[in-house]
Amino acid sequence: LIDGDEHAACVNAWLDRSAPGLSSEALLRLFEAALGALWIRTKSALGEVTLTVIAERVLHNASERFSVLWSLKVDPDTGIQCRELREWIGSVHPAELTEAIRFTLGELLRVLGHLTAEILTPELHLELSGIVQRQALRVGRTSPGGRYVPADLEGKVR
Amino acid sequence: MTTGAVTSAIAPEHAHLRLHHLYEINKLFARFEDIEQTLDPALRIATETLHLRSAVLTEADGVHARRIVWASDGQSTEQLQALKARVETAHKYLVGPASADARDLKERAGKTALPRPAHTDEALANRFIILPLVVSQRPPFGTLALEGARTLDKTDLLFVNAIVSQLAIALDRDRARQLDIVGRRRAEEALSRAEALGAAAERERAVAEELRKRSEILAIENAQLYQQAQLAIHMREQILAIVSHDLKNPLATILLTTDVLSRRGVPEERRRGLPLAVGRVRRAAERMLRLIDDLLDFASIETGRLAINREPQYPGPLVEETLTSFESTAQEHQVHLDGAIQAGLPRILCDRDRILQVFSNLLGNAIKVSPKGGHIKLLVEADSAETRFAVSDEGPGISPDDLQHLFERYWRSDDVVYKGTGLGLAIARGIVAAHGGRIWAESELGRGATFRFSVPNIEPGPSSGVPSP
Repeated sequence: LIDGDEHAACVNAWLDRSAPGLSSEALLRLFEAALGALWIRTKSALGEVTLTVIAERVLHNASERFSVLWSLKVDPDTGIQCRELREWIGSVHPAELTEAIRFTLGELLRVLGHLTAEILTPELHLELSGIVQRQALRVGRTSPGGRYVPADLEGKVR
Repeated sequence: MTTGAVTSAIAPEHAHLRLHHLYEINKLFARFEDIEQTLDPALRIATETLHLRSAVLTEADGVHARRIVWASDGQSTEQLQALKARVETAHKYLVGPASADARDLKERAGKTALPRPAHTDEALANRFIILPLVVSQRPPFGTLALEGARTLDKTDLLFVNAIVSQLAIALDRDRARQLDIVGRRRAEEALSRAEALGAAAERERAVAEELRKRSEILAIENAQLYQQAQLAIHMREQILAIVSHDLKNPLATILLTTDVLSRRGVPEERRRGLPLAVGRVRRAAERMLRLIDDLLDFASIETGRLAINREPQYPGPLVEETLTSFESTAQEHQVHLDGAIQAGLPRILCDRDRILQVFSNLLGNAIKVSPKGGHIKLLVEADSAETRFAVSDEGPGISPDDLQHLFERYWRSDDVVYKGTGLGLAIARGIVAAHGGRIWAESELGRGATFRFSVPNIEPGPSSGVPSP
């Protein structure tokens, strides 16, 4: 049985590994990559209509706690969009954004787990923990440790 | 990098059974009458796959709400309370607190008692799936929760999701129909009142008349939407029927053969039989592949996305290539193939591979229905406007009734001497139509059949062409 704490622990571990020292812009890109990966993985099981409903509820709750997320939108085809937030991300403090990301991803995993008998949980946790490595295959280069380091994050990802 | 999905293995025979159950449930939802006549039997079917322990349907529109609880024999009140508490939390989260707090939430027990499961796993969290009832572009209007007796896996989730999606469409359609009925009744009542008030209420009568007209327009639109939905459901049913029935036989062959191969036996005996068995598995897999290719082609035709790469071609070589590629098949079936190519044929603009696909389909059918020693003739000829291809066989022929339906999707004659998917000729028609041509069949029972198709010429054909039918 996986409870909410284990979802939170997964997100915390991922953030501890990937987020320290990142600028708000880089954090947002990391957040978008995580949301995109979870969206794709979940959509194949639940379909976009059901997933949109769930994501909208999660975003609603998240933006009530973290006003920085108010402009996030759910697009049934492409998932959660941060386009507007990107325009003024420079004015957001990285610590505030980190907490918003922590809550949103934790809530998304918790709710999806609760609704689906925790069936998707193992693969979603795996997906989240692999988000940095996967980007390496797509666009970037790999650090000596085998992890992806985007150009502007170089030297900041541990 | 290890980011792969955690997948659940499922035996092919179970996969087929699930498809069959889904097909049966879809049929029930397609002719939705009410919960008792639709969801109750659907849950009975789903129980065979999921070993359901209980189910809870909650529908809410912000003011009115109803909850139906299906429990299994012997399920205790405490267990049901725990389940309902879980449903309550998830429902409020997905649909909004107002809906679940509606003052007139009416709860009742489902008509069907689910069978008592032989064994129930401990943790409810791993046996409980709850998904929103929602259709595209609308807010969610309810939830369906299913509790399995055992821990559920990903194939169970896909199965439940398919059921919930179809149920949402059926319930949404039913709600629209109910609204339509209420709207009409109100309009008619207003009209009656206005008429009773006489001329003094002329303005009210006009308003009521307008209301009635609008209701009628809405009813027409609703009926059209209903028809479209029915058509979509019907098509999906047919595809499911094809997938569930036509994949079953080759799958059974593969299972049986691999089972025999894996048994302990006399090694020499097994070695001798190996090429034969591998050949059977290969042919069965090829049949499955053909079916999947057909389904994909057909989907492309239906959505108008069939890729056609046209280039100028001489028709003669197309016939020659078809004859060559079917030479060994014809020998195997002991039928004779003959080709007749008119001299001086003009070029046509076509996708060579697609035209060969049409030819292969027609010739493949002809071989299947031809008697041993029979003759099949391929002909290509042209007049000034178009080039016509023909495949004639000496098979049992086709009745006039069947001739009318040959090219319809999924259609299969009751007296076919071979089994097909019902897609081949529909695909052939789609391909020929995409070339601006026509396809048709001529036949009499007992006198064989001739299938013809035409493609427009891109340069003048022979002036003394054959007459059009």
